[in-house]
Parts: sequence; C-alpha cells; structure tokens
Amino acid sequence: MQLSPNKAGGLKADINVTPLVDVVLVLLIIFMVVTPLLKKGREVALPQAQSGAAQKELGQGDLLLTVASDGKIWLEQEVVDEERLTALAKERKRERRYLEVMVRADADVTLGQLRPVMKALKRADVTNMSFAVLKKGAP
Amino acid sequence: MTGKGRRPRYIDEPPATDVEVPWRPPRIKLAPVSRPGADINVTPLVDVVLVLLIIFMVVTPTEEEALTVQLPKEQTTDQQESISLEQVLVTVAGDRLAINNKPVERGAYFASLRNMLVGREPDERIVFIAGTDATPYAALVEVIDAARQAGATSVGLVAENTPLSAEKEGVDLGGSAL
Repeated sequence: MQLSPNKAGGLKADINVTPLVDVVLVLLIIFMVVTPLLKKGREVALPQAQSGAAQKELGQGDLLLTVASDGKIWLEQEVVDEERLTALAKERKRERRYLEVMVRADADVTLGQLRPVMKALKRADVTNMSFAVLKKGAP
Repeated sequence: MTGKGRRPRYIDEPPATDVEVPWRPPRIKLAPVSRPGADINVTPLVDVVLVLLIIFMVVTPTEEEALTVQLPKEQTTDQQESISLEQVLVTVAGDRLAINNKPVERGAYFASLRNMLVGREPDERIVFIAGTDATPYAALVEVIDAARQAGATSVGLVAENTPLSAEKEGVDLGGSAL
C-alpha cells in the first residue's frame, strides 16, 4: 500500500474558487464605493437648503475644505490657517486657470469662523466657491 | 427429487437459458460534453448585485448638493456707502436681516427680495450678502437659499465683517447671544 497523491481521491482535489471570487468581488465593490466617500473629508453636520445644485466632481488640485464645528479649517487631512490656505490656493491657482473650491462647513460655525476661508480665497483671486449642503427633506 | 444442482425457482426469476451471453465491457457513463454557456450559475451574480443594492441604499440618503457663491472684488466696501439701484445688498446680523440697509422681517425677506428682482434681466439678478462675524452659518445658508429661490442668478458673498449700518454707531451686535 503506497500513498500516491495522484490517485483518485488523493490530496490533489480541486479547490472550489467560486466563493473566493465572490468574496473578492464584493470586497472590490465595497472599496470602490467607499473610497470616494472617504475622500470627502471629515464628518460634519451640513446645513440644509432647497436650491442647491448638483455638486461638481472635484478633480486633482481642487480644494475641498472642511470647517469643523470647533472652527478648525481642514484641507483634506490637514489643519490649515489663513496664511497657509492663501499660499496653497495661490499655488494651485497658478497651475490651473479655474479652481473649484468646495467648503463643507458645520451648521454650527459662525460667519466669523468662515471668514479666514473667504479672505484667503479672495486674496488668491478665487472668484467662486461652493457650500456643501444637504438637500432639504432628506433624513 | 434428488435434482443435483437444481434449486427451487423463484416466481419472477427468468427461466435459465443455455445461450451464452458474450462478455461486454461494463458501460461507463460519460458526463455530457459541456458546451460553453450551457448553464451559468447565477447565485454569485445575485449575491453581488444584492450587496451593491444595499450599499447604494445606505449611501444615497446622504445626498449632498452645492450652493455656489461668488467672492466679489474690492468694490464691496464702497457699495455699502453708495448703493446704486441695481445692487441688492442683504445684511445678516445674527437673526436680523436688512436689504440695502433697511431692516426687514425674516418672514417678509423672501417676498421683498422677489419684488426687487422680478422684472430684471437674468444676469442682473445679483444679490450680495454680507454678515457679521457672529452670524451663524446656518442662517447665512438660509439667506442664500431664499435669495436663490427668489430668483437670484448670482449670489455674491462679501468677505469682510459687515455690520448693519445702524450698528455702526456703536450699538452692540448681540454676539453674546450666540
């Protein structure tokens, strides 16, 4: 009696790859969906508005700013102040003619806490900015 | 009955024959040749589609939109002093509103703004919005939202702290209330 792995019923049985592919596909899809959401920056309670338009797709070099309820201004994952934001906006404005700026500000901030953003953008000759809002009526 | 080798026959046993049956190799049943696309296993597909559906069901309610405003150039500081007929300047100070420095009630704001904008060319329906530092952002968004619904095609946001004209004379802004 010899143990030969190649005989029928031996150790080289087929592995069923279908569940593996299944799980990998689902993982892929989950990450495809979640990654753009992660890029949206920090979690804030946005104000609601009725007359909002669809958000434009932010490309490479566009500015996504988040103003948290404590008044800190985040550029993606970095806290910035007015000077840093001015320098950054100027630098990015030099690279491209039109700069898209999206401001996601918490509904609890005051206009005074938003002032540095507006002043910095103005100093960098940015003429347009957008406030992110939630569509009124959505939960 | 001696009957050597003979045993009683069962009822449904076929009669014994002397005809010799030639030996045949045992038949091996082969699986039918699989043609491409014969039957697709839809279970994983349904699985993936269901997961997608659930993901989008979770993601969709947080639908975000954008309110775009202009950041006008320096002329805004003069505008306050000499507001021409064409310009509409809304000032927000806390929960108080003024259109072209004339105070308006919150409830009357939308109607009076629409009255000012109606009959104008679309590219003349510009509303400037200024505010004090103590103004809540939610109130500002409300004012921008109402202005756009009143017909404003372009909303300019004044970057500088702009108190109501009456409050320039040293009246407290009431920022402590916030």
